[in-house]
Amino acid sequence: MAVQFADQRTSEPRPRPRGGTGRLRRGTPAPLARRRTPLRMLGMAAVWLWVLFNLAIFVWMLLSSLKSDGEVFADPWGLPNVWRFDNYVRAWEGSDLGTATLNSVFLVAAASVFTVAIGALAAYPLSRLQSRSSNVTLMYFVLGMGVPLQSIVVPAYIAMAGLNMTNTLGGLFLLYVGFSLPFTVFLLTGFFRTLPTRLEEAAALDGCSAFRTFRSVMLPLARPGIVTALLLNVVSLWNETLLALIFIIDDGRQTLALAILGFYGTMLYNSAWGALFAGVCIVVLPMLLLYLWLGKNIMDGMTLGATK
Amino acid sequence: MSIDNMTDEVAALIEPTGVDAVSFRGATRYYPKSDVAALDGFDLEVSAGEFMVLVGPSGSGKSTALRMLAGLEGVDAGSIHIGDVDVTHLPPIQRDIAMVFQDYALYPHMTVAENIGFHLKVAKVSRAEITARVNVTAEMLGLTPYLGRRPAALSGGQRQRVAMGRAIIRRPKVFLMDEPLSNLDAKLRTQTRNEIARLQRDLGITTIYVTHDQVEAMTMGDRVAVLRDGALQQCDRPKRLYQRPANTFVATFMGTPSMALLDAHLDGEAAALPGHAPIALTREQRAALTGGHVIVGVRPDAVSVVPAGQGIPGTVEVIEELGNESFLYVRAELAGQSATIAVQDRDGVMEIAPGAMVGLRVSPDMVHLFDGGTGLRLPD
Amino acid sequence: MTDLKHSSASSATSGAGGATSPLDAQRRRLRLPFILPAVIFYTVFFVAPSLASFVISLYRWRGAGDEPEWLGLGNFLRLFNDDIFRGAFVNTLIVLLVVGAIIFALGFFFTAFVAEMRGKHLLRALIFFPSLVNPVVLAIAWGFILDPTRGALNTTLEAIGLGNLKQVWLGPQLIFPMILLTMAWMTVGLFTVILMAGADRIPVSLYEDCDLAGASIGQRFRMVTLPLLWEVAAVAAVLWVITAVKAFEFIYAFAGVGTAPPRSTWTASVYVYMQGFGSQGLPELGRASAMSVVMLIVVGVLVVVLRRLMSRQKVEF
Ligand SMILES: Nc1ncnc2c1ncn2[C@@H]1O[C@H](COP(=O)(O)OP(=O)(O)O)[C@@H](O)[C@H]1O
Ligand SMILES: [Mg+2]
Repeated sequence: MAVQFADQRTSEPRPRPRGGTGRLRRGTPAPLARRRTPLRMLGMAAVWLWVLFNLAIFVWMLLSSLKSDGEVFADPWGLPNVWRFDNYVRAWEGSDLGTATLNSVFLVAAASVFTVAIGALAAYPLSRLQSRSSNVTLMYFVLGMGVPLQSIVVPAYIAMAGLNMTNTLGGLFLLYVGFSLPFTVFLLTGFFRTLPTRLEEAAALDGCSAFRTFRSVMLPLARPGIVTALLLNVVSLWNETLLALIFIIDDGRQTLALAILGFYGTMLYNSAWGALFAGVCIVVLPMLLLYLWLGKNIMDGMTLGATK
Repeated sequence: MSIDNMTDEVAALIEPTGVDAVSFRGATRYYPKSDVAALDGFDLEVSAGEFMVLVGPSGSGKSTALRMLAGLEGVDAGSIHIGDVDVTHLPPIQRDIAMVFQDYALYPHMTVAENIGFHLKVAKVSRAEITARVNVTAEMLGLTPYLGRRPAALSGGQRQRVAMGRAIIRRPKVFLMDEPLSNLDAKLRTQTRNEIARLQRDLGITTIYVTHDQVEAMTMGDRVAVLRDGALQQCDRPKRLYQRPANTFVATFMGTPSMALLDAHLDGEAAALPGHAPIALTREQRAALTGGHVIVGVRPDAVSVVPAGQGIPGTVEVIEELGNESFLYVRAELAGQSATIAVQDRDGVMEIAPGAMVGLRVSPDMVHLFDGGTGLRLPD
Repeated sequence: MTDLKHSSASSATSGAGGATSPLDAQRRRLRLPFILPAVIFYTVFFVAPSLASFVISLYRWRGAGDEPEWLGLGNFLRLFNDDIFRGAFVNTLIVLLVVGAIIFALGFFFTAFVAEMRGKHLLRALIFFPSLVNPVVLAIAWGFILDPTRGALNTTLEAIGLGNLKQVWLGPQLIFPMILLTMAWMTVGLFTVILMAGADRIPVSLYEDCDLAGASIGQRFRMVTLPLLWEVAAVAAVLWVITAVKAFEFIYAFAGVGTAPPRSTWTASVYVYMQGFGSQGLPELGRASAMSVVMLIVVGVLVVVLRRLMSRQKVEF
């Protein structure tokens, strides 16, 4: 039968403070830490100021999206007199932000998932094989991270025009996949490298083919990395504007970034400020929600490349 | 725990489907970019159902040998056979081998039950049979209460059992274990050691067990193979290994405290040990010598302490009190060489403190003799 | 009994070791099918266009219907005599240096202080958030804040009695400095968080040792954080070069409200866009490509120089 193990963690009684009838205070700082020098106070105040400023900007955006057009300028820091939720309806219907949002959602989802799927497939062997050719291949991807996007727009435009794929979301999808791959492969290769090879050996002995090992063992283990890669692609593609601006002409095929840019342009003539801010919030809020939900993954992912 | 009290039907679920012999024939491995063989012309025959232990210091090539047999490592020269089949180039799964890794290599995203049953699932065994076999295996290893847990929620000992279970459930032809106990604490290690030995006897699966711990080697193996720097030194039953070590390396590696080696030189028909009566050599022994030097190996039970002024002079350095027995470590000065000799204090009555001057007397019929040039044992 | 044995079979293969294990052989079969899709997509839709820009930069080409005309290095020669190009090029360098200086100064500053503060995870998250927002949106927000007549900044200044500080923030004089400041604001979060992540990896024991030695916060930062952060800062600097040269959306939206951005604000990326796709006149695809080639070379050179300058003995900890 099973052997019973003595619990290793001894639970010694906590020492109580002397004369201890009072509550035990936890987390008392060590006497040396946190001395309050003037410099330190000043620095902390500056940090708080910065953070509050950031917060204020976003609160201001949100509030402006709920104000009447006049109020946006007249009373920038106040609460709305009347909460104008219909600004969102105006933005969504009146200026095609609805269509644009759906376009963006589908395009971003498709391109992110596809990029991460083929990126993960490539990253796995690249992380495992230490041959010269796989190092060269990895380097080939990494170099792409240094190429500014504007380098590809002219030739890409000419090529897509030749294929009649300008002004299509499909064309944009292909370019999105192309420019997202370098970072995705780089990130995932780094991530797969952290996974123990021992488990692959165990899987091989258990009878897994190389593909089965990837699917049943490595992929589940790489889930945090996959999630991070997906998130980073979603963020970057959701906000991508240059390629969309160049490739999409039709209003019906606009992405959200493009639509808001156009909306902003027409604002000069129709002064629908409230609706504009509603549009701004439609761009920002999905990222905010994603951030509240999975912020740690996003931050970790964005800093991973530099700190490894 | 034991197979004996299972019904035949249940036992059939875990009994091996067949056992096979294993043989290494000149198996050699160079790691990439290395000029030194990690395993060099390794010859070893493991018979069907045998428990073979590979022992040697860290870096001696034990894991390499095991991994070559499993197909995880390439073979640069020589070949490896399981039964009649040359498996040198076969992929791991076709070798029908199960392995327990030092760090267990449990799949962290699977439950205990899924870990144990993973091979069967990959092999497309029916779900009902998987469940039945997982349950029997878990019962045997006392893992039933933990079947739904992930490895992270298990203690070290439990993880070790899961790794065992994952291997046992396969009914493999050969069972490989690479230092499976080294992550356990001392008490658990002793206990698990005995369980593994019993399990192996019950199942009768050919087993190759790697350890750097000579106690494990001596207590578990039917035979023990000693490696050093990628070369096999000796392979024999534990008792023989202890009684007739083939060379000075095996002699000092097996047994605690270690055998002390003293340099002597051939003087007529005997080995002359400074400050000690000469130790007679047989004619065969003299014939086997490659030069004038003889190494005299002395285990703690071959020495006794005599009053200072007699025998080999020495100073007591440390006294190791183990409860049921004790050892003195005596620093002996023999013309030109000084050696620490462990002495067994048989009666435990010696009233000696560290720093005391003593004399040592060696029992000539209990020493081991080795050639001074090659380190090989001289014929008895 | 094979003491010290060296089999002849093995010495023959000495040095040529490393035979592929059956496991690796099994894996290798999958290498190509796994890697190929990514390589193909990346090559066709990213690498090929990047390389093609080198070719196109050697032609004069005014878009669909026009026959490309061979110019050799003509576009490049023209570029350097072109005031607009020089302005855009210089602006890009200014963004690189000025914004870079601000974000790294602030980044180190935040890194030094936030680590000491309560709620540092929340602070970090709030400092970072602007990095996730579309630069277009941020440009719109800043446009509203800085609007000279009705913008929140000027009206607020007026309201709190600092009316004399009012400026025409988006006028020709101030618009580019404003772009620099707001770009710094929106980018600092990412780089701060990178530096902080690097600082997180510094063992706490070093700081405890500082505490025992009675070091001030400045000393701690100078003597522990900074040297151990150097490596991370070097990578971040490279990342910044790439980010800065790429930056387009923000400037475009900030400066060009419904119209073309004024020339004084053009950077290299805006130049490429305006030459190639901007609505005024016929596109100059060749010249736009020449600009992107120049910038690609600039990035390459800067990255190499930075790595040189900042490379030091790698600190292991
Ligand atoms: N993957 C590897 N690459 C290069 N050298 C290795 C590798 N694995 C082991 N070695 C070397 O091969 C020798 C034998 O190693 P190993 O078989 O792991 O020894 P053991 O298991 O007996 O401790 C050692 O010198 C070790 O450094
Ligand atoms: Mg080992």
